[in-house]
Amino acid sequence: MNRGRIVSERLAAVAFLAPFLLLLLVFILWPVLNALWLSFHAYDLFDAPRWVGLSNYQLLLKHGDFWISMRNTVFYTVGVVVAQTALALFLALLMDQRIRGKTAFRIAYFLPSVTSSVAISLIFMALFFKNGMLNQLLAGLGVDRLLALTGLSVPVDWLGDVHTALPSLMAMNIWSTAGFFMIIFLAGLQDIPQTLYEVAELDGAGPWAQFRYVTLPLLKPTFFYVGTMGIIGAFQVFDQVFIMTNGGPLKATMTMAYLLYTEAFVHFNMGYACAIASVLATVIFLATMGQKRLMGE
Amino acid sequence: MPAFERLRHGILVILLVVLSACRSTDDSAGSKISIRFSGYAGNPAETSLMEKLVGDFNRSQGEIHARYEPIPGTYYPKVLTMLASGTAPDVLYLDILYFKPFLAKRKILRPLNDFLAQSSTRPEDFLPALVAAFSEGETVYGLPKDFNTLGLYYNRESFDRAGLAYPDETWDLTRFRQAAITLTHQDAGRKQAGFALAPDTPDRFLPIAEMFGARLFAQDGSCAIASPEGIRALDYYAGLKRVDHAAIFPSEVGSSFSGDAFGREDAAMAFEGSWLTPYLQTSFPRLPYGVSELPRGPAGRSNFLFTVAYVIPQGSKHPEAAWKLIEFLTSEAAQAQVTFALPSRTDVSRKYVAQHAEYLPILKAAAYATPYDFGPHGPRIVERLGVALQEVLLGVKTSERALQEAARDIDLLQQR
Amino acid sequence: MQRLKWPILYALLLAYTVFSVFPFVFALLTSFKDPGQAFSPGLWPSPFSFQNYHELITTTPLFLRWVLNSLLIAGITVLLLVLVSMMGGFALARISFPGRQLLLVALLGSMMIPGQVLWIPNYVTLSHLGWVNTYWGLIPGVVGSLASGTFLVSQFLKNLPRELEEAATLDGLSRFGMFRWLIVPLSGPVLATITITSFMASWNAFDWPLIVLNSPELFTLPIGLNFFKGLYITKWTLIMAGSMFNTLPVLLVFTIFQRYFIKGVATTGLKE
Repeated sequence: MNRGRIVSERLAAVAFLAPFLLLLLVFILWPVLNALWLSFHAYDLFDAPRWVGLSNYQLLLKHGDFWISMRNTVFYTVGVVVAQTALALFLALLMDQRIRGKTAFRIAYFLPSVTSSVAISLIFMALFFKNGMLNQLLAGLGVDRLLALTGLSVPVDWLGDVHTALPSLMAMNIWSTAGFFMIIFLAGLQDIPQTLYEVAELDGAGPWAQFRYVTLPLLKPTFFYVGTMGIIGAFQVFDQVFIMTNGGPLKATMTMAYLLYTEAFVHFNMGYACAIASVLATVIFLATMGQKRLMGE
Repeated sequence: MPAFERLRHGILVILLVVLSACRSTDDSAGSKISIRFSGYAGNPAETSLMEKLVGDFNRSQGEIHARYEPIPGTYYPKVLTMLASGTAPDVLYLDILYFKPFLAKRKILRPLNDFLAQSSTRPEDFLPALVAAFSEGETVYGLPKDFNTLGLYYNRESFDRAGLAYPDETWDLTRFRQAAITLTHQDAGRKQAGFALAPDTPDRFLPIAEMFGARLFAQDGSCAIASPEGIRALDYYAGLKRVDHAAIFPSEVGSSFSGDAFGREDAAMAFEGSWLTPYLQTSFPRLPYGVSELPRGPAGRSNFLFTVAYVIPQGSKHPEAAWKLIEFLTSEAAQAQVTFALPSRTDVSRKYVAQHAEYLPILKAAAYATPYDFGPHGPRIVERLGVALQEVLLGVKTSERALQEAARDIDLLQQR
Repeated sequence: MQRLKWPILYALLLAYTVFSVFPFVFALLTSFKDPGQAFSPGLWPSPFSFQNYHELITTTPLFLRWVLNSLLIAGITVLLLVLVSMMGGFALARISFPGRQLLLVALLGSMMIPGQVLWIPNYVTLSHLGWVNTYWGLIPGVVGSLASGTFLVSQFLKNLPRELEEAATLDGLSRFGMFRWLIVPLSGPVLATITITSFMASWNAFDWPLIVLNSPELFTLPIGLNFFKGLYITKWTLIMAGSMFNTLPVLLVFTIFQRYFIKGVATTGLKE
């Protein structure tokens, strides 16, 4: 390659990269560093940031709300990720066959994922009301007596009862993301060569053994992707809480992202909010790494 | 189409949008001074009246063009964010609960004394309690736009059906409770509770606490709500729901506030201000309702004065123009058109009530109501009390424990 | 699963279809109910009324404006994001430059960062730039989508066989030419994928526009919908009608592109 070529190569790199790099730097990388820096200050947007060292982090450890939000978020994430992964895999296995009207099913299953969280939150709010459609259905099916056995007061105020509020949000989340991850699993399943199954069958493996020894191992990268995306998404849950419950009742649905929002934009403790954000980012990173270790990737 | 064509089309569209985006944030409408005015957006009667008044203002003179930009949802976080980033409007609503916190945030508000001195608008024309609520000593920071107190809204039909006499000045809390119990019934699958109460705001509970003799703050400023009287008051209030089963939460029936549950006839009574009246007239015109003063308690009567003022931020580039708008909005003519509150001008209020008798209980309460103002930490105190209320109403804690812990947290807050 | 008897298979498929679609059906039917009937027993509206849509369009004149805003913004965003992602992804996949590995790592890391971390610093940046309450200010909200889109493109292009490009280079084609005439036409699946994801990210964006936009005329549809769920009014039938406006365009876009989307995901998302 002559020198002119090298120069034009470099120019090309710059030209193609520039817009992307600029946006990434200004609106993601710089803010991350800025947020970290702010977490060591007290800042209320009006006066200049004031250095406070580690005291924001110390306050975190003492702040009851922070631990409540951490507990809620972890519970939410574990529940949602496990359930949506299992459900998505199950659906993908169902769909991975010759089915009539496959496209229609695909669209129906994917529809929840493409709808905005606002619209979904509003629709489910109406469904979850004490006198809403969900309770009407349950009463019609006679399930309300079952519910009463669990100690809940029937008809259940799904979003207003401290025991059911968070699980209701989780159910809504699973409903809206299972279809998306089903597509991912479908793609992964279709990547598995048919010959492997034929060989396994020749070796005398039944359908369950085939699933365990052919399907599951080859789906590992898919599991990892679904798990990672799931964890990242679930840890950041905010919209639904903001629109539907505002962290209530009695902080039962207060997630870390929501706490962040209130500390930053309602109480204007920007520095403290940045400390929460740093912890949240760290937890997500650790969870993702932990998942990687678990999968043996 | 080939990528290049797409690119060209794309650039064209981008240009178009840039132009249109620039237009929508364009400040100058010709050579006029352009100012912005923001308020709450929660009450349609209010937003449509404000739109009309701003339009009238723009038409009445030619130098200033005012734009009305109501803020939906959480008003104060939005406003503070705008103030901090220098993008705040020229005229703002400021609720009395937020006045002291704003004042504490070093000089956000512009004093109005110099404008008042040269204007025909005189503070004496307004209800004194209201002007005092927005002043610090002699300095006036805001001009009150209207005010409200709590009244007892009751459903006439429900009372008739239960054979009860309508509420009046003789009513006390015991009688109220009995009525709520009697009015709670269910026939033909349609349930109606006696009373609707919101579980997470203390503004209905605190007057009741005072009627039992409790005080939120003692003489020395510490929180005194966990006194025996306060605990008794909370037991009474929460008992309406938990013991008597005579009250419901609005959220249980899909409402966002007790007045809506009242309008839907899911509850026969509610404590609301006169903001409810236009709402009922538009959304539930056939509801036969009446308004009376809040019932008396063992220690007398109590109520809150809710009020909002127009303020001008220090950062406003056109304070004189902003003042002209405020003058217009607080004029007699403008105030006479208010239906969701009582006008802040004393004689306009009196005249209005003379013509609309149902606002009389609201006006009467103003004589003894205390301003809904709890100092520089007011909003957080209100929030903390709301949590305590919710804890008791949901059966998580006893009144004693909830109030004691709230009092402790509030004391801690005030020391910060 | 291959051994599942087909009646059971179809029963399960249909059951989940009902589960998946029911909330939308509920919303659609409720949007045709009389305002006072929002929680009346039974799904079917009786009386069937168009009042909500009528009210939406006539008494809330800004509603159509919000739909228009969302459409316009989504359109521009898609164009911008697709362009920038393609260019960036191409550079990452095909051009060797110092710091490429580092950039890739940074890119992956940035996808893991919770959006809320960036709100405060980005808001401060915007206020310095004077972009608060403007459409420019919406850009930080979609940069996350940009990051994942660029990553997808780079993965896709990495798996593209190099022979065509090597032949083109021998024929004297420049980088730009290669991009325009070779890469872009071959990138159908991933283009479709990032078109959908960018459209979705923009159309459904809520958190960031909530913080940035103040003037009602500038609102996008999700913010406008939240406006309805205002403090004192809960007109649920109206809200359901509004949600329909939000849902149908995305459904349309997805239905058109869905075949490519799945192919795109298949060839990119997993080869990590």
